[in-house]
Amino acid sequence: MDKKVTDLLYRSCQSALSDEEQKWLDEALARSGALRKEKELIDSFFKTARSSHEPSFAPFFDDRVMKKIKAGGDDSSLLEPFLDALEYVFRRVAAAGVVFALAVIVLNLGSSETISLANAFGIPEAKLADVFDPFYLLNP
Amino acid sequence: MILRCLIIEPIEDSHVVNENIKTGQSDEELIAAARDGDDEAFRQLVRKHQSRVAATVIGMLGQCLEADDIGQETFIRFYNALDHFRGESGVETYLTRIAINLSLNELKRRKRRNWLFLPMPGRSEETFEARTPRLELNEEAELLHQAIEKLKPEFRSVVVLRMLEERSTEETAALLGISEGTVKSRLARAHHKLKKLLQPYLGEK
Repeated sequence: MDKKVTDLLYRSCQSALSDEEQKWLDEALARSGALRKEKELIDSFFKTARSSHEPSFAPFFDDRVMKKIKAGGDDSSLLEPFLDALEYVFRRVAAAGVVFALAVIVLNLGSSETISLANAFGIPEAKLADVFDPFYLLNP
Repeated sequence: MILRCLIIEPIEDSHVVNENIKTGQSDEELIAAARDGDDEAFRQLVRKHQSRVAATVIGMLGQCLEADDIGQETFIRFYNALDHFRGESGVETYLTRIAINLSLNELKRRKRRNWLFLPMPGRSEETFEARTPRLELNEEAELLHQAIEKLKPEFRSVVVLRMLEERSTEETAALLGISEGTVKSRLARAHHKLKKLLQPYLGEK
């Protein structure tokens, strides 16, 4: 199905189209059975959603609100504000950490002759045999 | 978990509610009285606007205890802000804005709690069901509401305001603090997502 026509179809459900667009859509609808089916589906979404959405709170809602107001309003625990603050700090620290790590990688690669993962992270290049060599361990 | 919050419809004592709203006082009069310490006036405001707040909050969170808490919190915030409320946007719009923001915060908390494996306070389905009977929604509506709950919060808020509450694009944009173009594109994307989610069931039919 043509994306432009589908977009037009969705837009027609949200607001009035211009005369030209409406004419174009009507013609497309007359031509395409799949598009008509799509339109039926969208209409059905709206209709079903509206007809089934008449929610209300449990009885004596106003009593509960007034009771809470009398009790001093917000009785939520301190955990949520703490977690909010923690998340706020973590995001900033994490962002700063990523920037710092990238700067270190760029600096390491700039000062090394070859581009490798070990050079990027500033890890001294060592062979496996060297790692197990006691002399290397004492003086890497 | 998504299913837990669905299709639990409380019985609202509409007779009592209607009796009390018959005072005929406008929002402005009720607010003025509430500012002067008249609790009964504020109670009238709660009764008058609770259905609109319920539509927003339950649309966003599903019918569950948390929705009731967020509904209460919405009115408490309004009560605390009475002295600063100038009436520029209307009580209903003001309350919807608070309800949407609190619901979005709650969805964020739900996500975080799921991530931290913390128990969900007040999400005991048994307790709620014992208090309120189930309403048998038709299968199609039930599936649609389940699908709406699977949408990301930013899409869900647009769907709730535009599709469920039938607000205009302009109003939705103002309530969410986004442009009308964003509302339209989010709604179109939400439709696509809903279609994708419901495709297997639509195929069965």
